Amino acid sequence: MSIPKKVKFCFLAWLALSTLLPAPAAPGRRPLLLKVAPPSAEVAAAVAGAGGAVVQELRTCLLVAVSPESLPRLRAAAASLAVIADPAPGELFFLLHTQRPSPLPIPRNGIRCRSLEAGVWLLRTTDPAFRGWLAQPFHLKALQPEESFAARRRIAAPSADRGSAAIKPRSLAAIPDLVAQVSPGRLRADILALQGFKTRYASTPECEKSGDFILERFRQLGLDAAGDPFAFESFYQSQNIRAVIPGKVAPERIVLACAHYDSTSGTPLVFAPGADDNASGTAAVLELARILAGQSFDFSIVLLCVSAEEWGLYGSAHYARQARQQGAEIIGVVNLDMIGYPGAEQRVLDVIGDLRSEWLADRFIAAAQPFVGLKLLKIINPSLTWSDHSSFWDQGYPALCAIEDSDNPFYHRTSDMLETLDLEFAAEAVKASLAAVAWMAQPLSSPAAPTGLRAHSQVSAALFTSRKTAYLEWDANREAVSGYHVYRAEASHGPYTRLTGQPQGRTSFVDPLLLPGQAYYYVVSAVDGEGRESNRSEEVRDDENN
Amino acid sequence: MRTTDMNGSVAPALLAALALFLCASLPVRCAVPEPAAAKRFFIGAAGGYFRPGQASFRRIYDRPAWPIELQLGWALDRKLTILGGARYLRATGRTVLVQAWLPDEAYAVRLDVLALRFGLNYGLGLGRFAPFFGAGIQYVFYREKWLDVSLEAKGGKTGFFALGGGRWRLGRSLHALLQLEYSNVPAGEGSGVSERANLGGLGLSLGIRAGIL
Repeated sequence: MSIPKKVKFCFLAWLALSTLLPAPAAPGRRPLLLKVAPPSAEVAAAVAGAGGAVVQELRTCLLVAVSPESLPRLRAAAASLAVIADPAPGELFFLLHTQRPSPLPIPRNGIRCRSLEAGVWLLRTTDPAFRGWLAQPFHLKALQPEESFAARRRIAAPSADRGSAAIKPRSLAAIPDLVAQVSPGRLRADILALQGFKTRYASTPECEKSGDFILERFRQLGLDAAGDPFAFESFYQSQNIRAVIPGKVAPERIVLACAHYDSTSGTPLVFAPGADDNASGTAAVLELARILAGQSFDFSIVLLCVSAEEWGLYGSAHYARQARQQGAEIIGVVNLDMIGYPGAEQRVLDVIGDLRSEWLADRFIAAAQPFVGLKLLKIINPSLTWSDHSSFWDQGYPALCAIEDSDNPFYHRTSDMLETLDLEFAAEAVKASLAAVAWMAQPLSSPAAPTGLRAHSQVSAALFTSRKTAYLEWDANREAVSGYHVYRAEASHGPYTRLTGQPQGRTSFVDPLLLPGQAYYYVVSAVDGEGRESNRSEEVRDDENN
Repeated sequence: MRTTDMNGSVAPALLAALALFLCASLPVRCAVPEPAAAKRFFIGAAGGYFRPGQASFRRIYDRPAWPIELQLGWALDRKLTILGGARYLRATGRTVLVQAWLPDEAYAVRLDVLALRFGLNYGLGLGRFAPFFGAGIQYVFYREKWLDVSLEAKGGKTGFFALGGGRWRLGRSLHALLQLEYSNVPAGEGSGVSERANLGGLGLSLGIRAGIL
């Protein structure tokens, strides 16, 4: 029996269409963007439990992505919940900060803004040229919906997730000499050089040249430096510039100082000198490199100049994402953004962190305050996401932003020039950053910090009472030492209490009668024959090696 | 770490055994009446062996414990007696390790338990031998002390007890008694070896009691 031609044709046509055309998306599978409050750990856990993800943590709410099927489950957990977007393919999402009543002076098809909280908007657009329609000044942070939807971010409880270098007071002895080397003249020269590129708007050839200039400066200092190209918004490319001062004891642990070197203005493709924003921060990183190169530290110092910050933090997001993927152990990030315009009568440097980074802000201030004549103002607010520190927050790294506490009238204008800056103020900010970075990286002193610290613990239990005993061991120092000190803390990275009255000769220690439900953290230091104490070892938790 | 608790499975078996014992005694009871001039108030003392019901209790206090007991009673009638008293137990042992790293770490510990009891006792007069059973509540004071270091825990909890046994008339107002008892005293949060401590268990004791009024 022969098959009629019409039937054959229909079958072949169906086969071709079903092969060539993409299958229609299953209804309801695409995640929705929601605004959920309160921004608590419980709500974040409910989001994760519903198979969703926190896209952005803000002061008053969470921006989350969940599948429509999970909506009822999440609705039960959150006090307030609103669906704010149903992302479509090709849409770009940004977090937009502005003090204007509305980011769009004139409504524009293809650009939609929705308020998330005071001064913070969610901007969604399919228009690549949307920036031209926004009211200046504004800050943008690109949200990566696909990536964020897959990520499971958690909200840090205050002080619950602290991590940093263990600091030895003796190591501070080297810091005043380092701080004294900060030179306003050098800052001036570097800012002038960066301003001289006319524009450093990411994607322009001038921006790439300024990146090459920074790379060359790092290399002239003898640092291991490299450019790291990245693409953004489909069409554009730029590069981050990175230099490393390798640590001598634990080089895998990193203290990172960064600044964005790109700039913008009303005419970004032609002229955007960006002296304050952010040649000042970039010059600060170059000054840190100049002073710290050749010094020895326990931990590595990475000096990073990122690009495309003005486009939406693309450069820092690229670096932070890679660091997380590679498992980089970043102790803390100091982001320098706009440190040259103190404003009238004000000499205040804001130190901005999120809850996870509050300890870092405290440490920054503690390290810096003895060396500077500025007021250092700690601000803990997860909504302040408009600079590169936010990209590190997104990846779970402690990060802070050091920034002038003033409204620079030349901000994002072609008049943001060197002449408007107070270089003495900028030098003070650099001193503060230098002291904090050096303190965290621990200048090396004699003898070397002990290595190989290991801890086991076990619980001895009676019927109603129990106590924990921690057993510590570490590797003996290669050089001659008179003994070791053991320190204990009840929170990660201190404050520590010394447990040994005199340095003890053994490379082991038993700490009995501890509370079983409490985690304890230990570091050890070595003491040489002249009584000089080393930096402290890496920290271990009492049950780390159980 | 959860430990097995034998209290729940022993109680029904004990009560069933007592019931069976009493049923078997009924014909004898009818044949031999109780002496008419029994004292209504009595005092007694007993001592014996205690086996903790909770495995973790036995693991820590692994040496035999010998409780002593003072009993007071007021006979409401020939069968029913209001029972009061106090029972003291001291147990010694050594701590046990949770997730042992170095297995030789142990601290000597001592547990003192004082139970104040109140209950009802139902007895049958069968001549020289009288079976009885009873039940009541008890308030238990406990103190657990680490002997090597300055550390102790103390508190008080309410529990219940059930007992059964028999007494033999030795003289006009003097009886010897043998009793088996079961007690359950949930004592709240335990330590690392058990989620909840329980001070109850099984006891076997021998004693005497005398009618005084």
